[in-house]
Amino acid sequence: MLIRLALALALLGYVSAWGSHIARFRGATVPRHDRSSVLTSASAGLHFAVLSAFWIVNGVPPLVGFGPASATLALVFSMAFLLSARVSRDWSSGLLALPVVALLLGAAVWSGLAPTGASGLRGPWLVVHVGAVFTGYAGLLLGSVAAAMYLLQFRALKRKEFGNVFRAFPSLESLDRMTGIGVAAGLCILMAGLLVGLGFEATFGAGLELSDPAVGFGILTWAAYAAALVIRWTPGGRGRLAALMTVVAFTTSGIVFVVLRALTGTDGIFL
Amino acid sequence: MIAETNGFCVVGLSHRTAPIAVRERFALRGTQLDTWLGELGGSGSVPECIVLSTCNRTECYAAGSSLESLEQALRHALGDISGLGIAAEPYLFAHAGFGAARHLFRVTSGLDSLVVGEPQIQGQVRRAYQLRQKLVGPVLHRLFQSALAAGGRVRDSTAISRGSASIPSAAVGLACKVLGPLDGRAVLVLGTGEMGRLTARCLRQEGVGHVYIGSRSLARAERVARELDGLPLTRREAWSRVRDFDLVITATESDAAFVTPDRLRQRAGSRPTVILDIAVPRNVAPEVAAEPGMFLYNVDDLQRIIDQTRQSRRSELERAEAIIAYHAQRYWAWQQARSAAPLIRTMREAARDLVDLSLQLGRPSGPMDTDREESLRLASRTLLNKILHGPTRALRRLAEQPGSAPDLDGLSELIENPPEAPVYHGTADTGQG
Repeated sequence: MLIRLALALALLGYVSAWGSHIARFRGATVPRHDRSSVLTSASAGLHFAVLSAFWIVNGVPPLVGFGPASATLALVFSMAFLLSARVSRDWSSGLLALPVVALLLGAAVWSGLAPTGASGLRGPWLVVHVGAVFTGYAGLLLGSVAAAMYLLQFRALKRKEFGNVFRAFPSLESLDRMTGIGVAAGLCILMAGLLVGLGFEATFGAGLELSDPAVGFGILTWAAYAAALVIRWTPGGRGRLAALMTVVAFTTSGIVFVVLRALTGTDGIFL
Repeated sequence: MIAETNGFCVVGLSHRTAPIAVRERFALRGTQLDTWLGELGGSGSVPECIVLSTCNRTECYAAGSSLESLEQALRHALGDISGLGIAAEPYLFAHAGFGAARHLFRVTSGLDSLVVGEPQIQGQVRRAYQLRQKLVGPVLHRLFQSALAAGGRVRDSTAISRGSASIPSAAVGLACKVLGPLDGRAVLVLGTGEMGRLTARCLRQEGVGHVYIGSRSLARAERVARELDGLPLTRREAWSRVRDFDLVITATESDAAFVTPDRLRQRAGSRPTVILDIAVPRNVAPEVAAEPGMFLYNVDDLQRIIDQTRQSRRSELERAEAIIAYHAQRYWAWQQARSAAPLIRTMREAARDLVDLSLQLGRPSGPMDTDREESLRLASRTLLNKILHGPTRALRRLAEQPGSAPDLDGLSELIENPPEAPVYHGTADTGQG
């Protein structure tokens, strides 16, 4: 109960940071990045502490089951966002990234964070496998956020709409670069995570189970984003087409996720 | 005429008081400025001075004991340097004390600029200050440091400097929104007119790698390219190399649109290209905007950006003025508190003398241990400092209040010439008349 309450507090922090982003985007406040960055960092800190407490209290990492896995994915994504914002010195992607974090964490808080009884999956293999897969997803999500921003900025520039999007979003060149880096890095890390899972199954399990929703979702997501990356590398594929394909890959993965979740119910260990 | 008798003042002229033909006569740069300031300092009439000289203003900030003579000396010197003599008077303005501080704070924040909120002025004020930093006293030090802090605060806390407020800067801003940082990019400027040159200069300041100047006449292209440290091209050469340019600026006097989709199609599909058509009539056919990867903007588009910027800056003026008022008040309080310094010094000296006298009188007649004497002295000084801490703070606070000069004078008189103690003559005062 305490863990759930603390996560709800972190959720409130993320939502407040998002509110600060919206106010800035709409021109209601001056571009001061301090407040939103501090709020996001503080929320991520609390989020991390709560999940660490979950691990210590329950003796299992929060990687299995819908609630714990969503909360961990939300944390990895928020950390990836913080890192990219610090490196690029641009916090505007928080406008689209923070609602995704809040959605994932909200789902975790709503569903509860009870550890599952799937004890056979504990151990360092699982931590490395799920950790890498989630980091890969976070990279892909970041790339998708940048791609969506690219399309919005492209539309504003082509239509000569010099409003909030034009003012607040970075240049097309920066967004294109962020999309490329996010997708490429995400794919590489996701592939490493999938290979670790494959190695585990080959060593201790019954081999690769394509019918396993987690495996199916991972491979399909990888394929969708790999297609977007291949198109980026073709002549004339950079820019708008690459952004469009990245958003299509994100949408496809999202739909597949919802379908698989609906099919597997709430008892499975898939996300 | 400045009426105050001490502190600092500003004498100068700006775009508000003088047209450009007059302002350019007052422009002081480099060694000329050093020589002039050296002469001013050497004459003794202006002991410390900082000169802010930009294309829109020449302002001399000076500190001294007599503001009236400071102002006269500066007016005289400015008249001389411009060659206008007494004829310079109508163009000059002067402020003293709080008015001068508030003026510098407004200038540094860009509120007094021709284009409100322009960011360059902050750097110009900083350079003017750094140039004379080692030659001025605490009053001007604190004044400029406070002004720079206030300017930074205004820019951080308001949207006064956001956006582009001129055609060249809007053009550069738009190009940056598509292409990102422009350093290392290749730019083609077609046309050698005023607007093309200004935009090219603005691009150069943004760090654009190569600026190519294209013109029908190679001689004209060469002349402008020399001026802008660019590379000349004939228009035919420019078209043959159009694939190499990320940004094309057209500013020719051509009567018809000569940039058509056919000419640019060879580039379409690769990297994005920004075309800024700042010519009237337009040089670029509107259909070019429909080509993939082409971002076409004309003068009206740039004007819309400028209008939005100006509107947003106007709405921020009130907040900026409030920040300036706060910082100016803080500076002024510090400056006023300085006027209590002589009185505080006198009070502390008088108290120290009394303590020393008491120690002397209370000293035993025989020899005294040096360590004991020293510790006694130290203890008495510490006690004295503790007792005087409250009155010192109270005096500083009093000095910060407006119109406190007579009170300070009275206190000073009281400390320096204390009234004689009443003499007791042996008759008790019953208080009954």
